[in-house]
Amino acid sequence: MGAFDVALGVRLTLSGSRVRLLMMVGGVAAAVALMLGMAGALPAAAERIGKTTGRGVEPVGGGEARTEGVRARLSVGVWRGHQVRVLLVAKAGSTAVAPPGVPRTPGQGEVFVSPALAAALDGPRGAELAPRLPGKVAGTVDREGLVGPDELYAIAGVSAGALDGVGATGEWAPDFAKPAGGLFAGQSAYVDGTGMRQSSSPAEAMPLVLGLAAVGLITPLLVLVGTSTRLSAAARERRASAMRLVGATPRQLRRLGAVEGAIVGVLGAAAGLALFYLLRAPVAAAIPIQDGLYAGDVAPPLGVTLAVLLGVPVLTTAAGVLSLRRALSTPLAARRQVARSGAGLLRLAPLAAGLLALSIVYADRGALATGAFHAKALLFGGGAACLVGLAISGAALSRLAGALLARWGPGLASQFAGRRLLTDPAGAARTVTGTALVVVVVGWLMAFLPLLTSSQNEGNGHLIGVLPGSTVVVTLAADSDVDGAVAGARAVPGVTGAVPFRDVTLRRPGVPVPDEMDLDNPSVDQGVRAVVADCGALGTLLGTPVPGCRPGTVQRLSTSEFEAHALAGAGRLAPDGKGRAVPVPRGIDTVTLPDGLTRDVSFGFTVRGDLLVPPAMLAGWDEPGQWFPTLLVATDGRADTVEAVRTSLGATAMALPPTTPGESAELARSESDGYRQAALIAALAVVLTGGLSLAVTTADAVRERYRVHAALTAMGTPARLLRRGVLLHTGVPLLLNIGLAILVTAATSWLYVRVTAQALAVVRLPWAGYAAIGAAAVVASLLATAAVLPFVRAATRPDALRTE
Amino acid sequence: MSEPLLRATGLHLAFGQTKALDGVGIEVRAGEMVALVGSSGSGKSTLLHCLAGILRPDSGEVVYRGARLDALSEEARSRLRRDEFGFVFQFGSLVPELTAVENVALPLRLAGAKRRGAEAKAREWLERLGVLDVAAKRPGEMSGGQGQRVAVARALVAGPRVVFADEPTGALDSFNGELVMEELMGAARAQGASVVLVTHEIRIAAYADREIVLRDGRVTSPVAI
Repeated sequence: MGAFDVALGVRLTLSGSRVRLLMMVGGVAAAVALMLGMAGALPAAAERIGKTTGRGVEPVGGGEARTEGVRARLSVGVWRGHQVRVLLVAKAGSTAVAPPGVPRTPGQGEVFVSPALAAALDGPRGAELAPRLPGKVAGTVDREGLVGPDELYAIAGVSAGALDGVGATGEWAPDFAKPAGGLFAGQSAYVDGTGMRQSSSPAEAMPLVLGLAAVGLITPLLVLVGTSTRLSAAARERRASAMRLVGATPRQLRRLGAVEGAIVGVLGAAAGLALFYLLRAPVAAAIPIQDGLYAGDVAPPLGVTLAVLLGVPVLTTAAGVLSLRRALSTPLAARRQVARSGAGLLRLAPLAAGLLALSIVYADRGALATGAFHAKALLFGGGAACLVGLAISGAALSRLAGALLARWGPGLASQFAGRRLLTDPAGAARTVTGTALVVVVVGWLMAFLPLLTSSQNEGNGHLIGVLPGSTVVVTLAADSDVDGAVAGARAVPGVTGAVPFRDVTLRRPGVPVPDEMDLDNPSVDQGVRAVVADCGALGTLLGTPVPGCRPGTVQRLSTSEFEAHALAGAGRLAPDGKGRAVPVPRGIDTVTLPDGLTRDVSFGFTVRGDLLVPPAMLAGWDEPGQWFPTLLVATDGRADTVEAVRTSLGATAMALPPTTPGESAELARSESDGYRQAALIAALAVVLTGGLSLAVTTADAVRERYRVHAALTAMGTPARLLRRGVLLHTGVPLLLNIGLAILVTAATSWLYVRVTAQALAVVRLPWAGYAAIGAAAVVASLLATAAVLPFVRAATRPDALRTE
Repeated sequence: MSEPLLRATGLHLAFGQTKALDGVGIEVRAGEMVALVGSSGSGKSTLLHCLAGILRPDSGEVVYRGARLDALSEEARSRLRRDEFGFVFQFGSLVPELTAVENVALPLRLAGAKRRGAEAKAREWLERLGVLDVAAKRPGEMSGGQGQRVAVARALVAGPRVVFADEPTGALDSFNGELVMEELMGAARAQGASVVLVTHEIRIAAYADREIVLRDGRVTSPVAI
């Protein structure tokens, strides 16, 4: 490249319009900053997953049982709408291992707390929290052990016996879990939002899913880089044509275009890098993600950073050359402003076919629910057609919108905007189509991530609608003082009732408890499973009598596999055949508990057994049962009452902290909700990027048309009419494309859920998220217009009309 | 003699250190054609902008039909320009996305006229100026002369009292330039509109009733024809 060409290119770039150069560099800088932010999101997600999965101990392989080491269980409770996570740890022997974030394993009665939890304990409601911790605060958990700065987290030392229960391994492990690279965390270390250890880890799918999302999200950012570099294309094209007229060769023009593009790219990349680091901390603090986000966790890998910093100037250099291609072909390229060929309406065909297919699926949704092949084919085919349609129909949609606006839109502003859309529909759609596609992809992620990450455990979500909403479900450890817990709960002001449930196996006195080997042996007397509870008190709590309930009487539960006559002959039965016996009446009748209470769930509260025994018949029996005692505590619905119930239980309910059914379902969903939140944030960022692209191109178009705007102002055209025209020209393509994208996403997601509804999965379509994306599109449009207003005002100054 | 339709006295206007107008005063009567003549940088366009209410002078006054233009708000001046004035610029300044008939109908639409009626009247004017054949074409599809005649139609369609023409033939060849001037002056006279014309060409200025020569922001020679 000749030195003269380079020097001329630099001179033309730097001595031209400063405003235009600033806009070009600014657009590229914004895109680079966003790209680095996206690239940093993966490590941030990995960090969060890694820290969460690390809250446990290393898996213990087969072989000789250890007598020293560590055991741990994560207990997740709720306080004033916030999750409170307590890692209960027990240590045996002289092992010197420590959980992440603390210098040593806390001894029994010691608790290390996160800074946020320490602040909460010191706050006005600290007295509610403190009794729930099994010990005194002895230190702080540092950042290495925390998911985010706002996390309410504690590591508490407990006795080994306190861990005998749900979720904790029985064996001593050599060390706490050290997951290898968060996104690739091992299955055995995975715990869900309720703290329950899961047998399958969704983390295996995360790298693929998040990687696809990151690649997809880059699309509008690349569009922003491209549009920024093509600013004032018409003016530069005319300049290039003029140079060709005086003898410049196409090669020289390419060099000039390349130099200009490279300068913009280098300056933009540097500015973008600076912008990213400047804004990282305030944006991390502002993002509404559970437990907050450490700014330092958003760290794009070095390789990616270098790729962006080097790749963007290459991209802008290419764009700079491409923007002159019309002038390269003929020196007369920019003589006449001829309307570009509008995109044919035939391009709408795939989108129309896709929407028609989805409509047919909806009309025949009965077939869909049965999994009929034709319904599924139409669903997936329709979705794919819609995606392709959105990709190719942007210009045609803009042209259609332009025609409708120009013909039917109210007022002159519609005519201005409509005509502009008809003249250059591709230009209007270019910046929006990429955004629309990403909205579809991210929308699907938001809807389907829960299917990928849904926990087998839905907590007590199945009790929603069965129990009054403010009922607290308390699951105690097997050896807890149930009566004491009931008395404590009933003493809380605002509690309207407390009904305990306990399980026991009843046998004929003298019949031995079968060995473990004989548990499934039908020839061995397995005893009868009994639930010790008061159905009358339960009816009062539910607000409706329990069908068939006769308080004070032993009754058959409707879920029993034994017929009434088989149970009637059982005679007197005692807990495990020992102690006080319970008479089974000859004319035993059946009590039917609400379906929701008897549903067979993996980990939530369920009442299943053969007999219902009134507590009075086993008064004084305090042997631990086989399953965990559960209290249902009805409250007056006030948050203070619910919190007081939880506080009254202190640290005794650490096995499964007390929650309402709604809270329990939220906890089960919380991790997938986190990913959904992240997908929503990414989608909003993408839509705003689309708006930024629009603002850049629209501002440029206004500047290029300054004479027209100045003349219109001279003729008496109100400025608000011109602004309205800009708003319509900017907003209509954005809203149209994004609106269609959301429609496609919502329709396909809703129909897909119908096909694959998983009984155990907690699936909610993110309607609020879709609405947020739509609102963001409106905001982006308004922001784009607002950003352009200064240019409209400047362009309508009378100075622009001066000919001398 | 009747009161002048438009009168400016003692106008001063500077752009930074540059004095564009230095105590300029002129009068335009109803139905009169006045040409502002001078070399490049003499202040003629600036004077035209002040007379049209586009620019506010630093001092002096512009009176239109007894009301001080420089004392009106921007919105009031904008309304005045819409309802009482017409404009023809050197480069036409037609809206490139609108067809010729839509461009001509624009002042009527701005004044609140319905689309159909406005475009019907626009077609009448296009026919009157001999450019009805480009009614459905956009500015980029017309020749320079055709575009300027469309601009003339736009300036006159709303029946303005004053037409301000800033170098209307500056981008045209002599033949087309004379064609445009004949159409402009003929139509304006037929409507009884006054014309304030800025030009640096003497032959174009000859179309006017009176020439006012400007130099360095001052009036040096009002010559009555």
